[in-house]
Amino acid sequence: MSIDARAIAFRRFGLGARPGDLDKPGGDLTGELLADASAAMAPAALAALADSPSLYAELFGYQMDKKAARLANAGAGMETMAQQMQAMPETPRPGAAVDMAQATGRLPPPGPHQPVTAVPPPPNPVQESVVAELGARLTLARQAGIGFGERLALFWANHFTVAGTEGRVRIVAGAFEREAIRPHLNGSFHDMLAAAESHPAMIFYLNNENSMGPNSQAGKRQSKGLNENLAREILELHTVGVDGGYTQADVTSFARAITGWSFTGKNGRDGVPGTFTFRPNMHEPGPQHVLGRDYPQAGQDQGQAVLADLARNIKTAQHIAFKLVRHFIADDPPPAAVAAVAVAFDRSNGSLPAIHEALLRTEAAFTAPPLKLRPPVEFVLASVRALEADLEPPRLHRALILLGQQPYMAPSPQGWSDDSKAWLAPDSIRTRLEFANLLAQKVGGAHPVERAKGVLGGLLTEETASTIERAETTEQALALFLMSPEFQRR
Amino acid sequence: MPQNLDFSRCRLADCENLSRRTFLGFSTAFAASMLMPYRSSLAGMRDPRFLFVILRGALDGISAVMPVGDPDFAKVREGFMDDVRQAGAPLPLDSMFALNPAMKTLAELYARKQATLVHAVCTPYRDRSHFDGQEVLESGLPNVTHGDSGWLNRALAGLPVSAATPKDRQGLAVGPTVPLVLRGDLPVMSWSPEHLRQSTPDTIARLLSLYQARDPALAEALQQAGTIAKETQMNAAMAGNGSKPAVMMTGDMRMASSVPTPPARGLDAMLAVADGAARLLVRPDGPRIAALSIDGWDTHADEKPGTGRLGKLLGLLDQLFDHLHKGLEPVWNDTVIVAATEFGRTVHINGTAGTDHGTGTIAFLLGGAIKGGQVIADWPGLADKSLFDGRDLKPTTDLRAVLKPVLTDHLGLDPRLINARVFPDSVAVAGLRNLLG
Repeated sequence: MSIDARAIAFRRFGLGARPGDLDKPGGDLTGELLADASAAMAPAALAALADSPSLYAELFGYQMDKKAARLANAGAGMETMAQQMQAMPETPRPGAAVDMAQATGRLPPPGPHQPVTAVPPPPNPVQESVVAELGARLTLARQAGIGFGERLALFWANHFTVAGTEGRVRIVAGAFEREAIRPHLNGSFHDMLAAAESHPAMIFYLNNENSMGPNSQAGKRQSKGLNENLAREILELHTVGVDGGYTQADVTSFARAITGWSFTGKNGRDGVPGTFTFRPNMHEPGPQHVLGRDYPQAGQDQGQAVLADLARNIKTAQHIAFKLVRHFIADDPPPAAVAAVAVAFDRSNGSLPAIHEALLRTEAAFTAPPLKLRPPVEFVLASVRALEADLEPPRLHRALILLGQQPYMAPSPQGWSDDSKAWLAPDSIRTRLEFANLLAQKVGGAHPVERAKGVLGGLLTEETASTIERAETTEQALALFLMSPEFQRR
Repeated sequence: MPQNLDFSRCRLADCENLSRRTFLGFSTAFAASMLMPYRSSLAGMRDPRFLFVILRGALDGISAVMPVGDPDFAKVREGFMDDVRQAGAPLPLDSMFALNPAMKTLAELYARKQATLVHAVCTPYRDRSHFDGQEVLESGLPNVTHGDSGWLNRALAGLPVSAATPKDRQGLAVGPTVPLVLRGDLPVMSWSPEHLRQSTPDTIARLLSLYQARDPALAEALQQAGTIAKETQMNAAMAGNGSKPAVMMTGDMRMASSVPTPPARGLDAMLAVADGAARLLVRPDGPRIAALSIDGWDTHADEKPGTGRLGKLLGLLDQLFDHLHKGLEPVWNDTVIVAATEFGRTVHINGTAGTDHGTGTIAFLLGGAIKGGQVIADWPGLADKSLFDGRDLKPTTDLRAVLKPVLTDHLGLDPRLINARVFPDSVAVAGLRNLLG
């Protein structure tokens, strides 16, 4: 039997097939995948979500309401330790003891258990925005064709990770993906890089908002100065990579070049509140020298010039190529595939459609064995598509917490691991089974083998088909299907 | 002693057919054995436990253990001192060092000679990437190789054979993923507290047979999970259930009854992790070596080592130590806990009231097997000329020198194996003396 390229496309480059998807005529698969990427740039399902300035307006208002409520309740009781801890940076695996039955809707969520206060605290817009963003993406995942565009959005948003519990990062983490990532899926890497590094979510996440040159006007007045976090991670994670040949001096110099890249506060003095702003009085004056090049430019142009060169750097092309191949094709990327994607990056000056097309056209794209374990977010979305299941956004959110991939909560700026071994913990396989079980019990329905054939096509093995066939109940059959190696791996 | 009660109930999980009468007898005998010092009860045989706590994000060592006797400390950290004082007076350790006021449990253990601090320590890694730094911390190799084998997994291979615990159940990853330090050739168990076990054994058996036919790696993972599933299900079913033995129910009833507490977050979740890890480690047939991680130490801005972000994190770590100490009480005399981070932070405060990636930092050692009450440091000083690269605390002790005696003297590994396999290319790094009691 010949390989089922269409089924591979759905599984490796998309969000998995729904029943019926594989019956459509084959035709130009690469063209269909690339069209999918275009469709993900500004999809209708995301149109209703608020933009960053509106979200920040909500956050500012919430903080004021909260303060007012706290003042009104002054003396009524201190903040509990638990509340204080919630405001802290993430401790490992938060959201802990939420249970999978609640996550999939078989039990009602637990009631609130906050201490009783005279004035109830205002609803938290951060949590609301996360669930709204997630809900819209669930809709998108259902509507998407093959789902390559959604996968690219996940990949690039993870490459430019913004994450964590901090309200001013978290409330716009979804907006970041809509504003800095998706619009550039058919553009250039440079444009995406420039948009990502100047988005308020990134400015806050990597602490650049108050970084100031020691010799800037503000720096001379105050005893404050440089914070090199953003500069270091741009080099190490977003562009040339840790082996990109930079030194501590390059990091410091680049950090000076982007001093003043900041954020407009709620007073609106420097522009629309909740947007990027450049603060000349915080910018380190004078030329900078990064990776062997001089940057005599003044002001914001200086940092932009460094970013433009980084986007053209051959090390960046190689780093991005490696990550794309590792994410989509194999934990140990075939060198030929990496080289082909890097060449496409270099020759096209970082044109993302050209890079994505090169990825799809590498020999390994359709021939590499399916050894990568789907990360939780892919597993969950593919399960929902395969079973055509209903899953309310808050429950999807809980499920992802339990599976170890809470949205916008990657443990570090490096993002979620692209190495499937990281997801192959005994405990997490059992948790996947709990999810599969409960989703299957929600859905039910007949003919599980037909469904498996419809979703996996020629990739369904004899062993899995007969395991499904012999199951005791439809629910058990569907759970076994979702847990089968050919559904778990891609 | 609730820990003991929990413990005896956990044991019951393996003996579901025991009658209540047998259970009582069993638990009484067991409680009696607990009253005797652990070592003497085993007639001199040691049964060591080791827990490695990875502090991810690079901990600011001189905020945790403050070199208050160094005349430059007050100068370089002037900007933090008001905040620290607000949290309380630093807890004096010796004439040179004082502990962050958030770490009261650790100070107490130190006073009881069950905790030791090693300062100006670092892995052999000398760049400043978190991810590469953590890789070196966990791989045990002198440089970055992007391999998939951790030193603790390789150490497991050399662990003296235990009568009660088979080889593939000696290592435990606490959390939903297995950290690199425990990854490698030997299978390890993993456990995290938040999951509800609900699949029927029948579904698991069917899935396992499919995996065995098609996918050995998934089969192994599922099998490993199976061996500890009983334990966790038990914990869930038992929690908040008084002293009654578990009653297994079916379907929705069982699910409803096994949701014991409201969702835990932050601190509660972390302490649940500590309690669960301790419960598994004290079991005679449980794992001997475990690893867990705490994230969030990357304090680039608004570090506030007293009342703010770092102060709270150190307080969390201290509570974690407290829970581990209490949970591991029955085996505490045979326990070593090491908490270490990938590197330290800059000595000077940066422009945003935080610190950037540095080098030398602190390592915490605690447990009854530790020769406690010491701060071990070849102190390099904080004057500008003494700093590594002109900015970081100079590393004067290799972290492997701290870990080697734990592996040899505590866990009984052959020193030759350590230089050959666990920490390759480390012959020149001599283990610290006087670390273990």
